[in-house]
Amino acid sequence: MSLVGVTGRVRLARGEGPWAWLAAGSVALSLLLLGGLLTLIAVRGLGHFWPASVSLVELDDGSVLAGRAVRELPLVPRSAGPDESGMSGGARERLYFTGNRDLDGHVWQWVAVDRIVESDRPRELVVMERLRHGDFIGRLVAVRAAGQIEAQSTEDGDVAWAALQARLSAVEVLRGERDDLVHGVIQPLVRRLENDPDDTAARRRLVEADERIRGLQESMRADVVVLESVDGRRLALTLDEVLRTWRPNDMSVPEKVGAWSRGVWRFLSEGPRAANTAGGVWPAIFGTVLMVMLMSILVTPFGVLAAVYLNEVAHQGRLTNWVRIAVRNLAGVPSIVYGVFGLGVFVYGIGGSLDEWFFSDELPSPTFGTGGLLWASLTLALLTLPVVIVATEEGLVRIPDHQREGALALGATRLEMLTRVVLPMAVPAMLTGVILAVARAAGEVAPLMLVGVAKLAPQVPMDGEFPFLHLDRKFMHLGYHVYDTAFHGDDIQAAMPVVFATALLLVLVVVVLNLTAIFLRHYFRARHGALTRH
Amino acid sequence: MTKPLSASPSHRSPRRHLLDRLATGLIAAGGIGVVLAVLAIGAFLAIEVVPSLFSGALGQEQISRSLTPLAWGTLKAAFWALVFAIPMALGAAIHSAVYMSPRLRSRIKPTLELMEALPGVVIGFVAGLVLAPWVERHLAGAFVLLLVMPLGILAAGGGWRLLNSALRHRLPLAWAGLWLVPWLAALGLAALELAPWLEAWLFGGDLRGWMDTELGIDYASRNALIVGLAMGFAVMPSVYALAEDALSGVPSSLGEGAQAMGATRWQTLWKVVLPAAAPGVFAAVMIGAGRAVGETMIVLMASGNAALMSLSPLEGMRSMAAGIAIELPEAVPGSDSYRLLILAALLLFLFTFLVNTLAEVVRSRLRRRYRRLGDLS
Repeated sequence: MSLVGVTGRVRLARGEGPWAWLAAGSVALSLLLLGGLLTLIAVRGLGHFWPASVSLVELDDGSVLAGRAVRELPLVPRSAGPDESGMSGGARERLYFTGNRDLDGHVWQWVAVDRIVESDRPRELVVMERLRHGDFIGRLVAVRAAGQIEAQSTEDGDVAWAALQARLSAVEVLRGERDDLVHGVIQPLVRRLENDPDDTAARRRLVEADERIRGLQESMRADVVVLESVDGRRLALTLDEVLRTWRPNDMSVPEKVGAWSRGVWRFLSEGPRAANTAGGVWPAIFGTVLMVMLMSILVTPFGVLAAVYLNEVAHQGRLTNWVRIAVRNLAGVPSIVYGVFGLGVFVYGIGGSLDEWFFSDELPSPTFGTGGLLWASLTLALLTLPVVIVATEEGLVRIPDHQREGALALGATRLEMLTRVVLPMAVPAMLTGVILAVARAAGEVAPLMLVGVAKLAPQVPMDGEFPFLHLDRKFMHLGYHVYDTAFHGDDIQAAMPVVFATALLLVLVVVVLNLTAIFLRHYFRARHGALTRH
Repeated sequence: MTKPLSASPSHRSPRRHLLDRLATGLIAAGGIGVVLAVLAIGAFLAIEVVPSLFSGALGQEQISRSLTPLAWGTLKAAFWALVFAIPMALGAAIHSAVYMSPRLRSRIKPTLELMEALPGVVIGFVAGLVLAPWVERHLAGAFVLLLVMPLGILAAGGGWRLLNSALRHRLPLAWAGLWLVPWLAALGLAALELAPWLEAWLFGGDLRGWMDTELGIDYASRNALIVGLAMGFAVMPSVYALAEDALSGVPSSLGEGAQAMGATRWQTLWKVVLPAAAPGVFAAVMIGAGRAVGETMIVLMASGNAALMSLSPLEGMRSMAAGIAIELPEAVPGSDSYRLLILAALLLFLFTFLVNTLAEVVRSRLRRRYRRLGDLS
């Protein structure tokens, strides 16, 4: 800093040479990369929920398609001869999301831009999110009762649309009723019957509830919506198959914003559908938060204890110094190594023994002898222990010695000095350490792959059943959700929006936690700077 | 406590002292226990593997056959990560230690700290599923970008000297880290626009085909360069933070002396500050290497995971960490493949632990030296 100050006056007179500029450029480049990455994730993650307009495109061979333009790229000469590719400098092709997997067998279509004859956005185009086969894009023909013979005359679009909306909201109510029944009545009854198969009252009530559910399903299926793709193929769907529908070309911007925020909320609050490629991430959020909470409960006392021992109790000799360096270095040991340790010691070692002692009637299917919530939290606690120890120690070192000496001079014992003077002053440092630990744990995936994360666990590891918190269950995790959905799905393109949204959520969590830690540390240093000066 | 401690007649009471002793003992026991538990990781890995090495259960040949490709992949990925990370990290560290305005620096450091905290799985996903296909499609554009960025920075430096002094005041070198960003972004976009024409002109519009036929180079979509770029991005902030600490920790009297004799800031840095801080910079690079060797998710997602042994940076690889993550959940405990994977974990552990210890020792020596140098002046 003083270097800058001293030369400030002569700076304009002389150049610094090319290397100085390359150094400056590398700062700019890293900022550019970081900004680019964050923008990409934010735009693609949030854009997923925006009800984008749908275009009706007519090609030069007379075929039509309806879809959402996704992106446009320069045309790549695919297996083309050299004479052809030489001219393709300006040609571009556009990717459309056309939906209708059940009709076309695919949902994406590349179209060369110069083949497009006409493209417009008719307001009657409908996008429909369905329970199966993904989205439908096309026109609405009619809504009618299931038994009715198909009307030949096409109804007026707006009338059919209004009818569809009304019936869909009715179906929505029925669906809510059904879900309440399943969660509130059926599942507890099934569990009661599992414990006591002779409970006839429960059995009778179960049959009644089944009856009611069947009735609800029936009335949900009472109406049929008839749809037509833009090239004229018809399709009839019972309304229980339809989740949501909208006419994006007919929506005003405030309506779209409303739909967007509802989409974000659904993403946060619902479970995944269609092999994780659609729906929400609620179980993953819950699993991540629960695992991280358990981990911080485990890591905080032990980390603080070790830091206090190393800094306040242990003899400050060469050995302590070596131990300190070793602990610091463990923060640099790859996380996968912790995962191996967790698998070998916690899962196979301790978990296997627990199974033999307490759950031997369940063997050979393991209870604790397989990955689960408890082992994942323990492994991550071990992984983040160095972070907490280092941060707490840093706080303890910064407390001026005269504070300790003052307390001792007034007759306090060491314990009193620690609990009344030193530890309260070190609380922000501990908090910083724990927050950093949580941020690291929230983003860590590799060790979890070994000790208990699951691809799909719609049952969250906490419920109304004794013992309420199921430490042996597998759980879902945001980071693993990103990895698994992105790499193990059938249609990666279709899963990309969900992956981007999940990645954005994960990045947001980690960034907010880190910002809190940075702010705390800053505040803490400023306060203690003032203390040492006195 | 109703009375202040000093006024309490019981402040020498045996009960308080007993409590104190007890608590101190507990803290000591707990602390030692925690430290031992943390250190147990190395012990566990060694206990699992070492006996089978000596008893001959794991043959020499078996080990070399299954671990050599993984070790090769690990080193290859780490090498390319460092190729990208070290110039950027050291450049950024030099700029922020010597040239950057203190106000900007107090903002940049936490920003890069945030960059360090980005989860590997997110970086790996973007690298493997966005960057890799994009580069495959815009191969020429990607190479042009690699070339244009340094040239563009140099051009900015040259152009800056031609500006009039009012403008130069508005765009000082101390803030170049910020105002170069839009320039580089514009340059990058321009380069991407130009790349197809360049490709058509030089390589007949198909660089990939040209590389294949003329040079005989295979191009894998997920290759070492992609991994290197992504992992370089992940490793760069930690190298930067440590190198910046080492550079700005050099006692200012040294640099001031050189500048008083008429050296420019770059000369001062190159001849005085950098030699003084060299061990610290070396330690920073070592820690970066440790990070790159152990990073799992980025390699797993961006490398294709084929256990190849090739020198070409345009082909994929499989690293030890990725191999463990994929295979260990399926390996039967006690089997040979299980032991081999634990051996891989032990190697990773030993490597990173040794590298970090070396770096830490170098750093603490350096701190002592700075203190001495600072006292002299």
